[in-house]
Amino acid sequence: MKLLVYFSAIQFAFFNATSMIAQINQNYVFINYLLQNEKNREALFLLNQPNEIKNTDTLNFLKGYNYYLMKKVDTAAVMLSKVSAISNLFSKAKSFEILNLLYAKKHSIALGKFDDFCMDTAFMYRHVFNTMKAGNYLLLRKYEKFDSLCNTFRYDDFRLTNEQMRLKELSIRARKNYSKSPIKAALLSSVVPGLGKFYAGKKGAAIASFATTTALGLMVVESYYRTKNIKSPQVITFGTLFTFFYAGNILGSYFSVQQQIKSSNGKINNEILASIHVPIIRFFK
Amino acid sequence: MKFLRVFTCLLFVFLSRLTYANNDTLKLKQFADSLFIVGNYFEASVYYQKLDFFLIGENEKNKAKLSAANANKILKQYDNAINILNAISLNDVHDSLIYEVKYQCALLNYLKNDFLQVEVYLNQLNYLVSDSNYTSKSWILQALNLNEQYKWQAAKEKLLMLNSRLHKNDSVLYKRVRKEIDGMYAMNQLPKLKSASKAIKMSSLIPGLGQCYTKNYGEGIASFISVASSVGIMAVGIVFQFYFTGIATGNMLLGKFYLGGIKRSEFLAEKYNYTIAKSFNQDLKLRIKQQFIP
Repeated sequence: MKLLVYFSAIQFAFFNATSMIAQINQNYVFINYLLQNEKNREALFLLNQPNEIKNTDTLNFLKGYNYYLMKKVDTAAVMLSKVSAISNLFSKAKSFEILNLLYAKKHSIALGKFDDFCMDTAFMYRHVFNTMKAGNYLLLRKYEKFDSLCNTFRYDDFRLTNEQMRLKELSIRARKNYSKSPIKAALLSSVVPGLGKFYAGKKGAAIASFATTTALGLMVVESYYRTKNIKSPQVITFGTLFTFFYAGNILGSYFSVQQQIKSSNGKINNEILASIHVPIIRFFK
Repeated sequence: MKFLRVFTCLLFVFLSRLTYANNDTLKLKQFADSLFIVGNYFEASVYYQKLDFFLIGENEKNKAKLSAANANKILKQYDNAINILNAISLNDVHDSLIYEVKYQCALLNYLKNDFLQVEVYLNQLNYLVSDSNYTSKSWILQALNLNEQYKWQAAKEKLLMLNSRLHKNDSVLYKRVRKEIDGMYAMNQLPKLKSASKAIKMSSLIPGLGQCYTKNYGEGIASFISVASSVGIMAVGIVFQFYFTGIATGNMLLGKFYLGGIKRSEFLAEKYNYTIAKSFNQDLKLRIKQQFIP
Protein backbone atom coordinates (compact mmCIF):
# COMPACT_ATOMS: atom_id res chain seq x y z
CA MET A 1 0.00 0.00 0.00
CA LYS A 2 2.87 2.30 0.92
CA LEU A 3 4.46 1.54 -2.40
CA LEU A 4 1.24 2.40 -4.17
CA VAL A 5 1.08 5.81 -2.47
CA TYR A 6 4.71 6.56 -3.43
CA PHE A 7 4.09 5.44 -6.97
CA SER A 8 0.98 7.62 -7.27
CA ALA A 9 2.79 10.63 -5.85
CA ILE A 10 5.66 10.19 -8.31
CA GLN A 11 3.24 9.79 -11.19
CA PHE A 12 1.33 12.90 -10.08
CA ALA A 13 4.52 14.95 -9.93
CA PHE A 14 5.65 13.59 -13.27
CA PHE A 15 2.40 14.42 -15.01
CA ASN A 16 2.24 17.87 -13.47
CA ALA A 17 5.76 18.49 -14.74
CA THR A 18 4.82 17.26 -18.21
CA SER A 19 1.72 19.46 -18.09
CA MET A 20 3.89 22.48 -17.34
CA ILE A 21 6.22 21.59 -20.19
CA ALA A 22 3.20 21.09 -22.41
CA GLN A 23 1.91 24.50 -21.36
CA ILE A 24 5.22 26.15 -22.24
CA ASN A 25 5.19 24.34 -25.59
CA GLN A 26 1.62 25.52 -26.09
CA ASN A 27 2.76 29.08 -25.42
CA TYR A 28 5.44 28.62 -28.08
CA VAL A 29 2.86 27.24 -30.50
CA PHE A 30 0.48 30.12 -29.77
CA ILE A 31 3.19 32.75 -30.28
CA ASN A 32 4.14 31.07 -33.55
CA TYR A 33 0.47 31.20 -34.55
CA LEU A 34 0.42 34.94 -33.77
CA LEU A 35 3.57 35.48 -35.85
CA GLN A 36 2.14 33.57 -38.80
CA ASN A 37 -1.02 35.67 -38.64
CA GLU A 38 0.91 38.96 -38.59
CA LYS A 39 -0.25 39.73 -35.04
CA ASN A 40 3.16 41.07 -34.13
CA ARG A 41 2.05 43.50 -31.43
CA GLU A 42 0.26 40.71 -29.60
CA ALA A 43 3.24 38.36 -30.00
CA LEU A 44 5.62 41.00 -28.67
CA PHE A 45 3.39 41.61 -25.68
CA LEU A 46 3.43 37.89 -24.80
CA LEU A 47 7.16 37.61 -25.40
CA ASN A 48 7.72 40.41 -22.91
CA GLN A 49 5.70 38.59 -20.24
CA PRO A 50 7.68 36.51 -17.77
CA ASN A 51 6.92 32.76 -17.74
CA GLU A 52 5.56 32.65 -21.31
CA ILE A 53 8.79 31.27 -22.82
CA LYS A 54 11.38 30.05 -20.33
CA ASN A 55 14.22 29.15 -22.68
CA THR A 56 16.34 32.28 -23.25
CA ASP A 57 17.53 31.26 -26.72
CA THR A 58 14.01 30.51 -27.90
CA LEU A 59 12.81 33.78 -26.38
CA ASN A 60 15.54 35.80 -28.07
CA PHE A 61 14.96 34.06 -31.37
CA LEU A 62 11.21 34.68 -31.28
CA LYS A 63 11.72 38.31 -30.28
CA GLY A 64 14.25 38.80 -33.07
CA TYR A 65 12.04 37.07 -35.62
CA ASN A 66 9.08 39.17 -34.49
CA TYR A 67 11.08 42.39 -34.87
CA TYR A 68 12.19 41.19 -38.31
CA LEU A 69 8.53 40.74 -39.28
CA MET A 70 7.82 44.21 -37.87
CA LYS A 71 10.65 45.51 -40.12
CA LYS A 72 12.64 46.77 -37.11
CA VAL A 73 15.81 45.36 -38.59
CA ASP A 74 18.35 46.82 -36.14
CA THR A 75 16.55 45.50 -33.06
CA ALA A 76 15.93 42.18 -34.82
CA ALA A 77 19.66 41.77 -35.55
CA VAL A 78 20.54 42.53 -31.92
CA MET A 79 18.01 40.02 -30.54
CA LEU A 80 18.99 37.31 -33.01
CA SER A 81 22.69 37.79 -32.19
CA LYS A 82 21.88 36.82 -28.58
CA VAL A 83 20.94 33.24 -29.56
CA SER A 84 23.77 31.07 -28.26
CA ALA A 85 25.75 28.63 -30.41
CA ILE A 86 24.47 25.63 -28.44
CA SER A 87 20.88 26.33 -29.41
CA ASN A 88 19.10 24.37 -32.15
CA LEU A 89 17.94 27.69 -33.50
CA PHE A 90 21.48 29.07 -33.91
CA SER A 91 21.86 28.59 -37.71
CA LYS A 92 18.42 29.97 -38.34
CA ALA A 93 19.00 32.92 -36.01
CA LYS A 94 22.40 33.71 -37.53
CA SER A 95 21.06 33.63 -41.10
CA PHE A 96 18.22 35.97 -40.20
CA GLU A 97 20.65 38.18 -38.29
CA ILE A 98 22.77 38.53 -41.44
CA LEU A 99 19.65 39.33 -43.45
CA ASN A 100 18.58 42.00 -40.97
CA LEU A 101 22.06 43.50 -40.95
CA LEU A 102 21.94 43.72 -44.74
CA TYR A 103 18.57 45.48 -44.59
CA ALA A 104 20.09 47.81 -41.98
CA LYS A 105 22.88 48.56 -44.53
CA LYS A 106 25.55 47.12 -42.22
CA HIS A 107 27.09 45.12 -45.03
CA SER A 108 30.60 44.74 -43.61
CA ILE A 109 29.34 43.54 -40.20
CA ALA A 110 27.07 41.06 -42.00
CA LEU A 111 30.07 39.65 -43.89
CA GLY A 112 31.90 39.07 -40.61
CA LYS A 113 28.97 37.08 -39.21
CA PHE A 114 29.59 34.19 -41.62
CA ASP A 115 32.62 33.28 -39.51
CA ASP A 116 30.34 32.52 -36.53
CA PHE A 117 29.00 29.36 -38.14
CA CYS A 118 30.72 26.14 -37.12
CA MET A 119 32.62 24.26 -39.81
CA ASP A 120 29.96 21.59 -40.25
CA THR A 121 27.18 24.12 -40.79
CA ALA A 122 29.39 26.22 -43.05
CA PHE A 123 30.12 23.16 -45.17
CA MET A 124 26.54 21.92 -45.21
CA TYR A 125 25.14 25.27 -46.32
CA ARG A 126 28.18 26.41 -48.36
CA HIS A 127 26.16 27.06 -51.53
CA VAL A 128 23.58 29.19 -49.72
CA PHE A 129 26.26 31.08 -47.86
CA ASN A 130 28.19 31.67 -51.09
CA THR A 131 25.06 33.09 -52.69
CA MET A 132 24.47 35.31 -49.65
CA LYS A 133 28.08 36.46 -49.62
CA ALA A 134 28.01 37.16 -53.37
CA GLY A 135 24.90 39.28 -52.86
CA ASN A 136 26.61 41.04 -49.99
CA TYR A 137 29.66 41.91 -52.13
CA LEU A 138 27.35 43.09 -54.89
CA LEU A 139 25.67 45.43 -52.42
CA LEU A 140 29.13 46.76 -51.59
CA ARG A 141 29.84 46.94 -55.37
CA LYS A 142 32.96 44.81 -54.95
CA TYR A 143 32.75 43.20 -58.35
CA GLU A 144 35.99 41.18 -58.18
CA LYS A 145 34.93 39.33 -55.05
CA PHE A 146 31.42 38.93 -56.44
CA ASP A 147 32.81 37.43 -59.66
CA SER A 148 35.06 35.00 -57.77
CA LEU A 149 32.06 33.79 -55.71
CA CYS A 150 29.94 33.66 -58.85
CA ASN A 151 32.39 31.14 -60.29
CA THR A 152 31.48 28.75 -57.47
CA PHE A 153 27.75 28.77 -58.46
CA ARG A 154 26.73 25.37 -59.80
CA TYR A 155 23.13 26.19 -60.77
CA ASP A 156 22.07 22.66 -59.89
CA ASP A 157 19.95 23.37 -56.78
CA PHE A 158 16.45 24.51 -57.71
CA ARG A 159 16.24 26.39 -54.40
CA LEU A 160 19.10 28.65 -55.44
CA THR A 161 19.35 28.67 -59.24
CA ASN A 162 16.91 31.51 -59.94
CA GLU A 163 18.46 33.79 -57.33
CA GLN A 164 22.02 33.03 -58.47
CA MET A 165 21.11 33.87 -62.05
CA ARG A 166 19.30 36.99 -60.88
CA LEU A 167 22.40 38.15 -58.97
CA LYS A 168 24.51 37.77 -62.12
CA GLU A 169 22.00 39.77 -64.11
CA LEU A 170 21.90 42.45 -61.38
CA SER A 171 25.69 42.74 -61.37
CA ILE A 172 25.55 43.59 -65.11
CA ARG A 173 22.86 46.21 -64.45
CA ALA A 174 24.82 47.67 -61.50
CA ARG A 175 27.96 48.04 -63.61
CA LYS A 176 25.97 49.67 -66.42
CA ASN A 177 24.25 52.10 -64.05
CA TYR A 178 27.34 54.26 -63.57
CA SER A 179 27.89 54.70 -67.32
CA LYS A 180 25.63 57.80 -67.39
CA SER A 181 27.29 61.09 -66.49
CA PRO A 182 25.51 64.08 -64.92
CA ILE A 183 27.99 66.47 -66.57
CA LYS A 184 27.27 65.00 -69.99
CA ALA A 185 23.56 65.52 -69.33
CA ALA A 186 24.14 69.17 -68.38
CA LEU A 187 26.21 69.74 -71.53
CA LEU A 188 23.57 68.14 -73.72
CA SER A 189 20.90 70.36 -72.16
CA SER A 190 22.97 73.46 -72.81
CA VAL A 191 23.12 72.57 -76.52
CA VAL A 192 19.47 71.54 -76.94
CA PRO A 193 17.15 72.25 -73.98
CA GLY A 194 15.63 68.99 -72.71
CA LEU A 195 18.20 66.72 -74.38
CA GLY A 196 19.91 66.06 -71.02
CA LYS A 197 16.63 64.89 -69.52
CA PHE A 198 16.07 62.67 -72.56
CA TYR A 199 19.53 61.22 -71.93
CA ALA A 200 18.51 60.63 -68.28
CA GLY A 201 15.53 58.61 -69.55
CA LYS A 202 12.82 61.17 -68.72
CA LYS A 203 11.17 61.59 -72.09
CA GLY A 204 8.07 63.46 -70.93
CA ALA A 205 10.08 65.98 -68.90
CA ALA A 206 12.44 66.40 -71.86
CA ILE A 207 9.60 67.34 -74.23
CA ALA A 208 8.09 69.73 -71.63
CA SER A 209 11.45 71.44 -71.04
CA PHE A 210 12.12 71.76 -74.75
CA ALA A 211 8.67 73.24 -75.43
CA THR A 212 8.81 75.76 -72.56
CA THR A 213 12.35 76.97 -73.25
CA THR A 214 11.77 77.21 -77.00
CA ALA A 215 8.50 79.10 -76.50
CA LEU A 216 10.21 81.57 -74.19
CA GLY A 217 13.09 81.93 -76.66
CA LEU A 218 10.64 82.67 -79.47
CA MET A 219 8.94 85.26 -77.26
CA VAL A 220 12.29 87.02 -76.76
CA VAL A 221 12.93 86.96 -80.51
CA GLU A 222 9.45 88.31 -81.24
CA SER A 223 9.80 91.05 -78.63
CA TYR A 224 13.12 92.14 -80.12
CA TYR A 225 11.73 91.95 -83.66
CA ARG A 226 8.83 94.22 -82.73
CA THR A 227 10.64 96.74 -80.52
CA LYS A 228 14.09 96.68 -82.15
CA ASN A 229 15.43 97.60 -78.75
CA ILE A 230 17.28 95.11 -76.61
CA LYS A 231 16.56 97.15 -73.47
CA SER A 232 12.79 97.24 -74.01
CA PRO A 233 10.71 95.92 -71.04
CA GLN A 234 9.29 93.09 -73.19
CA VAL A 235 12.76 91.83 -74.17
CA ILE A 236 14.05 92.15 -70.61
CA THR A 237 11.01 90.34 -69.13
CA PHE A 238 11.00 87.44 -71.56
CA GLY A 239 14.79 87.37 -71.70
CA THR A 240 14.97 86.98 -67.92
CA LEU A 241 12.35 84.26 -67.98
CA PHE A 242 14.16 82.48 -70.83
CA THR A 243 17.52 82.64 -68.98
CA PHE A 244 15.91 81.37 -65.81
CA PHE A 245 14.32 78.39 -67.58
CA TYR A 246 17.40 77.69 -69.72
CA ALA A 247 19.78 77.63 -66.71
CA GLY A 248 17.25 75.73 -64.61
CA ASN A 249 16.95 73.12 -67.32
CA ILE A 250 20.74 72.58 -67.38
CA LEU A 251 20.83 72.17 -63.60
CA GLY A 252 17.74 70.00 -63.72
CA SER A 253 19.37 67.65 -66.24
CA TYR A 254 22.47 67.34 -64.04
CA PHE A 255 20.40 66.43 -60.98
CA SER A 256 18.09 64.20 -63.03
CA VAL A 257 20.96 61.90 -63.97
CA GLN A 258 22.31 61.99 -60.41
CA GLN A 259 18.86 61.15 -59.04
CA GLN A 260 18.36 58.47 -61.67
CA ILE A 261 21.65 56.76 -60.68
CA LYS A 262 20.61 56.93 -57.03
CA SER A 263 17.10 55.56 -57.55
CA SER A 264 18.27 52.91 -59.97
CA ASN A 265 20.93 51.86 -57.44
CA GLY A 266 18.21 51.66 -54.79
CA LYS A 267 16.09 49.44 -57.06
CA ILE A 268 19.06 47.17 -57.82
CA ASN A 269 19.91 46.93 -54.11
CA ASN A 270 16.32 46.00 -53.28
CA GLU A 271 16.40 43.25 -55.88
CA ILE A 272 19.74 41.99 -54.54
CA LEU A 273 18.28 41.90 -51.03
CA ALA A 274 15.29 39.94 -52.36
CA SER A 275 17.68 37.48 -54.03
CA ILE A 276 19.39 36.94 -50.65
CA HIS A 277 16.12 36.89 -48.72
CA VAL A 278 14.43 34.15 -50.75
CA PRO A 279 17.10 31.43 -50.23
CA ILE A 280 17.22 32.22 -46.49
CA ILE A 281 13.47 31.69 -46.27
CA ARG A 282 13.71 28.49 -48.34
CA PHE A 283 16.53 26.99 -46.29
CA PHE A 284 16.00 28.28 -42.77
CA LYS A 285 12.35 29.19 -42.17
CA MET B 1 -5.47 -7.14 -7.50
CA LYS B 2 -2.30 -5.88 -9.17
CA PHE B 3 -4.29 -4.84 -12.22
CA LEU B 4 -6.74 -2.92 -9.98
CA ARG B 5 -3.86 -1.01 -8.37
CA VAL B 6 -2.35 -0.04 -11.72
CA PHE B 7 -5.78 0.95 -13.02
CA THR B 8 -6.42 3.13 -9.92
CA CYS B 9 -3.06 4.84 -10.38
CA LEU B 10 -3.67 5.56 -14.05
CA LEU B 11 -7.19 6.83 -13.37
CA PHE B 12 -5.86 9.15 -10.67
CA VAL B 13 -3.23 10.54 -13.01
CA PHE B 14 -5.69 10.97 -15.87
CA LEU B 15 -8.14 12.83 -13.64
CA SER B 16 -5.43 15.11 -12.30
CA ARG B 17 -4.36 15.93 -15.91
CA LEU B 18 -7.93 16.63 -16.92
CA THR B 19 -8.55 18.85 -13.91
CA TYR B 20 -5.34 20.71 -14.62
CA ALA B 21 -6.29 21.39 -18.26
CA ASN B 22 -9.77 22.63 -17.35
CA ASN B 23 -8.40 24.76 -14.55
CA ASP B 24 -5.87 26.21 -16.95
CA THR B 25 -8.38 27.54 -19.49
CA LEU B 26 -10.69 28.64 -16.69
CA LYS B 27 -7.86 30.61 -15.13
CA LEU B 28 -7.04 32.11 -18.50
CA LYS B 29 -10.64 33.19 -18.99
CA GLN B 30 -10.83 34.71 -15.52
CA PHE B 31 -7.54 36.50 -16.12
CA ALA B 32 -8.71 37.89 -19.49
CA ASP B 33 -12.03 38.97 -17.95
CA SER B 34 -10.27 40.72 -15.09
CA LEU B 35 -8.03 42.58 -17.55
CA PHE B 36 -11.09 43.64 -19.55
CA ILE B 37 -12.88 44.88 -16.42
CA VAL B 38 -9.98 47.07 -15.35
CA GLY B 39 -9.74 48.52 -18.86
CA ASN B 40 -6.60 46.77 -20.15
CA TYR B 41 -8.30 45.99 -23.44
CA PHE B 42 -5.22 45.17 -25.50
CA GLU B 43 -3.95 42.66 -22.95
CA ALA B 44 -7.46 41.25 -22.55
CA SER B 45 -7.73 40.85 -26.33
CA VAL B 46 -4.44 38.89 -26.43
CA TYR B 47 -5.57 36.52 -23.67
CA TYR B 48 -9.02 36.04 -25.24
CA GLN B 49 -7.26 35.05 -28.45
CA LYS B 50 -5.05 32.69 -26.50
CA LEU B 51 -8.13 31.23 -24.85
CA ASP B 52 -9.74 30.76 -28.24
CA PHE B 53 -6.56 29.04 -29.45
CA PHE B 54 -6.49 26.53 -26.58
CA LEU B 55 -10.20 25.81 -26.16
CA ILE B 56 -11.69 22.80 -27.87
CA GLY B 57 -15.46 23.39 -27.73
CA GLU B 58 -16.77 25.44 -30.67
CA ASN B 59 -19.24 27.32 -28.49
CA GLU B 60 -16.60 28.41 -25.98
CA LYS B 61 -14.21 29.32 -28.79
CA ASN B 62 -16.84 31.58 -30.37
CA LYS B 63 -17.45 33.30 -27.04
CA ALA B 64 -13.72 33.97 -26.70
CA LYS B 65 -13.61 35.35 -30.25
CA LEU B 66 -16.56 37.66 -29.56
CA SER B 67 -14.86 38.95 -26.42
CA ALA B 68 -11.57 39.52 -28.30
CA ALA B 69 -13.46 41.38 -31.04
CA ASN B 70 -15.21 43.49 -28.42
CA ALA B 71 -11.88 44.44 -26.84
CA ASN B 72 -10.54 45.40 -30.26
CA LYS B 73 -13.66 47.46 -30.95
CA ILE B 74 -13.05 49.48 -27.79
CA LEU B 75 -9.42 49.93 -28.86
CA LYS B 76 -10.71 51.21 -32.23
CA GLN B 77 -8.83 48.41 -33.97
CA TYR B 78 -11.80 47.84 -36.24
CA ASP B 79 -10.05 45.77 -38.91
CA ASN B 80 -8.63 43.42 -36.28
CA ALA B 81 -12.06 43.02 -34.73
CA ILE B 82 -13.65 42.29 -38.13
CA ASN B 83 -10.96 39.68 -38.90
CA ILE B 84 -11.57 37.96 -35.57
CA LEU B 85 -15.35 37.92 -36.13
CA ASN B 86 -14.97 36.61 -39.65
CA ALA B 87 -13.03 33.65 -38.27
CA ILE B 88 -16.20 32.44 -36.53
CA SER B 89 -17.73 29.55 -38.44
CA LEU B 90 -21.43 30.16 -39.07
CA ASN B 91 -22.37 26.70 -40.31
CA ASP B 92 -25.27 25.13 -38.39
CA VAL B 93 -25.29 27.71 -35.61
CA HIS B 94 -28.15 29.50 -33.90
CA ASP B 95 -29.55 32.71 -35.40
CA SER B 96 -28.40 34.64 -32.34
CA LEU B 97 -24.72 33.98 -33.16
CA ILE B 98 -25.14 34.81 -36.86
CA TYR B 99 -26.93 38.01 -35.84
CA GLU B 100 -24.21 38.93 -33.34
CA VAL B 101 -21.36 38.34 -35.82
CA LYS B 102 -22.94 40.08 -38.80
CA TYR B 103 -24.34 42.95 -36.75
CA GLN B 104 -20.99 43.58 -35.06
CA CYS B 105 -19.20 43.46 -38.44
CA ALA B 106 -21.70 45.97 -39.85
CA LEU B 107 -21.31 48.19 -36.79
CA LEU B 108 -17.51 48.06 -36.98
CA ASN B 109 -17.64 49.06 -40.64
CA TYR B 110 -20.02 51.87 -39.75
CA LEU B 111 -17.55 53.08 -37.14
CA LYS B 112 -14.78 53.11 -39.74
CA ASN B 113 -17.06 54.95 -42.21
CA ASP B 114 -17.14 52.13 -44.76
CA PHE B 115 -20.84 52.42 -45.51
CA LEU B 116 -20.90 50.09 -48.50
CA GLN B 117 -19.48 47.28 -46.36
CA VAL B 118 -22.14 48.01 -43.72
CA GLU B 119 -24.75 47.41 -46.39
CA VAL B 120 -23.05 44.15 -47.41
CA TYR B 121 -23.05 42.81 -43.82
CA LEU B 122 -26.61 43.92 -43.16
CA ASN B 123 -27.75 42.18 -46.36
CA GLN B 124 -25.98 39.04 -45.20
CA LEU B 125 -27.70 39.37 -41.82
CA ASN B 126 -31.13 39.69 -43.45
CA TYR B 127 -30.42 36.72 -45.70
CA LEU B 128 -28.94 34.37 -43.10
CA VAL B 129 -31.10 35.16 -40.08
CA SER B 130 -34.67 33.97 -40.42
CA ASP B 131 -35.90 35.15 -36.99
CA SER B 132 -37.37 38.64 -37.49
CA ASN B 133 -36.84 39.43 -33.79
CA TYR B 134 -33.13 39.60 -34.59
CA THR B 135 -33.29 41.32 -37.97
CA SER B 136 -35.46 44.10 -36.57
CA LYS B 137 -32.73 44.89 -34.05
CA SER B 138 -30.47 45.94 -36.92
CA TRP B 139 -32.96 48.45 -38.39
CA ILE B 140 -31.57 51.41 -36.47
CA LEU B 141 -28.11 50.71 -37.87
CA GLN B 142 -29.65 50.27 -41.33
CA ALA B 143 -31.39 53.62 -41.02
CA LEU B 144 -28.21 55.35 -39.85
CA ASN B 145 -26.29 53.79 -42.73
CA LEU B 146 -28.91 54.88 -45.26
CA ASN B 147 -28.67 58.41 -43.84
CA GLU B 148 -24.92 58.39 -44.49
CA GLN B 149 -25.60 57.36 -48.08
CA TYR B 150 -28.04 60.29 -48.50
CA LYS B 151 -30.97 57.81 -48.88
CA TRP B 152 -33.17 59.62 -46.40
CA GLN B 153 -36.53 58.33 -47.68
CA ALA B 154 -35.40 54.71 -47.31
CA ALA B 155 -34.05 55.50 -43.82
CA LYS B 156 -37.42 57.00 -42.88
CA GLU B 157 -39.23 53.84 -44.02
CA LYS B 158 -36.92 51.69 -41.89
CA LEU B 159 -37.57 53.82 -38.81
CA LEU B 160 -41.33 53.73 -39.43
CA MET B 161 -41.15 49.93 -39.64
CA LEU B 162 -39.23 49.87 -36.39
CA ASN B 163 -41.76 52.17 -34.76
CA SER B 164 -44.66 49.93 -35.80
CA ARG B 165 -42.85 46.91 -34.39
CA LEU B 166 -41.77 48.45 -31.12
CA HIS B 167 -44.85 50.45 -30.23
CA LYS B 168 -47.67 48.42 -31.75
CA ASN B 169 -49.36 48.05 -28.35
CA ASP B 170 -49.02 51.69 -27.33
CA SER B 171 -50.88 53.84 -29.84
CA VAL B 172 -50.06 57.12 -28.07
CA LEU B 173 -46.35 56.46 -28.12
CA TYR B 174 -46.56 55.15 -31.66
CA LYS B 175 -48.23 58.36 -32.85
CA ARG B 176 -45.74 60.54 -31.00
CA VAL B 177 -42.71 58.75 -32.45
CA ARG B 178 -44.25 58.69 -35.93
CA LYS B 179 -44.80 62.43 -35.74
CA GLU B 180 -41.19 62.88 -34.67
CA ILE B 181 -39.94 60.73 -37.58
CA ASP B 182 -42.10 62.66 -40.05
CA GLY B 183 -40.67 65.88 -38.62
CA MET B 184 -37.09 64.61 -38.95
CA TYR B 185 -37.49 63.66 -42.59
CA ALA B 186 -39.90 66.41 -43.71
CA MET B 187 -39.20 67.34 -47.32
CA ASN B 188 -38.40 70.95 -46.44
CA GLN B 189 -35.93 69.73 -43.80
CA LEU B 190 -33.91 67.49 -46.12
CA PRO B 191 -30.65 69.01 -47.36
CA LYS B 192 -30.71 70.16 -50.96
CA LEU B 193 -27.73 68.50 -52.52
CA LYS B 194 -25.81 69.93 -55.44
CA SER B 195 -25.19 67.87 -58.56
CA ALA B 196 -21.50 67.55 -59.42
CA SER B 197 -22.24 66.95 -63.10
CA LYS B 198 -24.43 70.04 -63.19
CA ALA B 199 -21.60 72.08 -61.65
CA ILE B 200 -19.20 70.76 -64.31
CA LYS B 201 -21.59 71.66 -67.12
CA MET B 202 -22.14 75.15 -65.71
CA SER B 203 -18.41 75.80 -65.37
CA SER B 204 -17.80 74.53 -68.89
CA LEU B 205 -20.40 76.94 -70.25
CA ILE B 206 -19.47 80.02 -68.22
CA PRO B 207 -16.26 79.85 -66.18
CA GLY B 208 -16.98 80.37 -62.48
CA LEU B 209 -20.72 79.59 -62.74
CA GLY B 210 -20.24 76.10 -61.29
CA GLN B 211 -18.49 77.55 -58.26
CA CYS B 212 -21.32 80.08 -57.79
CA TYR B 213 -23.83 77.17 -58.01
CA THR B 214 -22.06 75.54 -55.03
CA LYS B 215 -22.33 78.88 -53.21
CA ASN B 216 -18.63 79.76 -53.50
CA TYR B 217 -19.25 83.15 -55.07
CA GLY B 218 -15.77 84.56 -54.42
CA GLU B 219 -14.11 81.64 -56.14
CA GLY B 220 -16.59 81.83 -59.01
CA ILE B 221 -15.81 85.50 -59.66
CA ALA B 222 -12.04 84.86 -59.36
CA SER B 223 -12.29 81.98 -61.83
CA PHE B 224 -14.23 84.12 -64.31
CA ILE B 225 -11.71 86.99 -64.03
CA SER B 226 -8.77 84.58 -64.52
CA VAL B 227 -10.23 83.10 -67.69
CA ALA B 228 -11.23 86.53 -68.99
CA SER B 229 -7.70 87.86 -68.29
CA SER B 230 -6.21 84.96 -70.23
CA VAL B 231 -8.40 85.79 -73.21
CA GLY B 232 -7.49 89.47 -72.70
CA ILE B 233 -3.76 88.70 -72.83
CA MET B 234 -4.30 86.82 -76.06
CA ALA B 235 -6.32 89.68 -77.56
CA VAL B 236 -3.79 92.35 -76.47
CA GLY B 237 -0.96 90.30 -77.96
CA ILE B 238 -2.75 90.05 -81.30
CA VAL B 239 -3.73 93.75 -81.33
CA PHE B 240 -0.14 94.86 -80.65
CA GLN B 241 1.19 92.33 -83.18
CA PHE B 242 2.92 90.17 -80.55
CA TYR B 243 1.23 87.20 -82.18
CA PHE B 244 3.32 84.36 -80.83
CA THR B 245 3.70 85.78 -77.31
CA GLY B 246 0.00 86.64 -77.03
CA ILE B 247 -1.35 83.37 -78.38
CA ALA B 248 1.15 81.12 -76.53
CA THR B 249 0.80 82.85 -73.14
CA GLY B 250 -2.98 83.33 -73.44
CA ASN B 251 -3.57 79.75 -74.51
CA MET B 252 -1.43 78.31 -71.75
CA LEU B 253 -3.14 80.39 -69.05
CA LEU B 254 -6.60 79.82 -70.52
CA GLY B 255 -6.12 76.06 -70.54
CA LYS B 256 -4.94 76.02 -66.95
CA PHE B 257 -7.64 78.33 -65.55
CA TYR B 258 -10.54 76.94 -67.62
CA LEU B 259 -9.87 73.24 -66.98
CA GLY B 260 -8.82 73.91 -63.38
CA GLY B 261 -12.08 75.80 -62.79
CA ILE B 262 -14.14 72.87 -64.09
CA LYS B 263 -12.36 70.38 -61.82
CA ARG B 264 -12.64 72.75 -58.88
CA SER B 265 -16.41 73.16 -59.34
CA GLU B 266 -16.84 69.36 -59.24
CA PHE B 267 -14.80 69.16 -56.04
CA LEU B 268 -16.73 72.04 -54.47
CA ALA B 269 -20.09 70.38 -55.24
CA GLU B 270 -18.95 67.18 -53.52
CA LYS B 271 -17.55 69.13 -50.57
CA TYR B 272 -20.79 71.09 -50.24
CA ASN B 273 -22.85 67.89 -50.23
CA TYR B 274 -20.57 66.25 -47.68
CA THR B 275 -20.63 69.23 -45.31
CA ILE B 276 -24.36 69.83 -45.44
CA ALA B 277 -25.25 66.11 -45.18
CA LYS B 278 -22.82 65.58 -42.32
CA SER B 279 -24.36 68.22 -40.09
CA PHE B 280 -27.89 67.06 -41.00
CA ASN B 281 -27.02 63.41 -40.28
CA GLN B 282 -25.40 64.36 -37.00
CA ASP B 283 -28.63 65.97 -35.89
CA LEU B 284 -30.65 62.97 -37.13
CA LYS B 285 -28.38 60.60 -35.22
CA LEU B 286 -29.07 62.41 -31.96
CA ARG B 287 -32.83 62.49 -32.56
CA ILE B 288 -32.96 58.80 -33.51
CA LYS B 289 -30.97 57.98 -30.39
CA GLN B 290 -33.47 59.94 -28.25
CA GLN B 291 -36.44 58.12 -29.78
CA PHE B 292 -35.22 54.53 -29.97
CA ILE B 293 -32.29 54.00 -27.62
CA PRO B 294 -33.22 54.24 -23.96
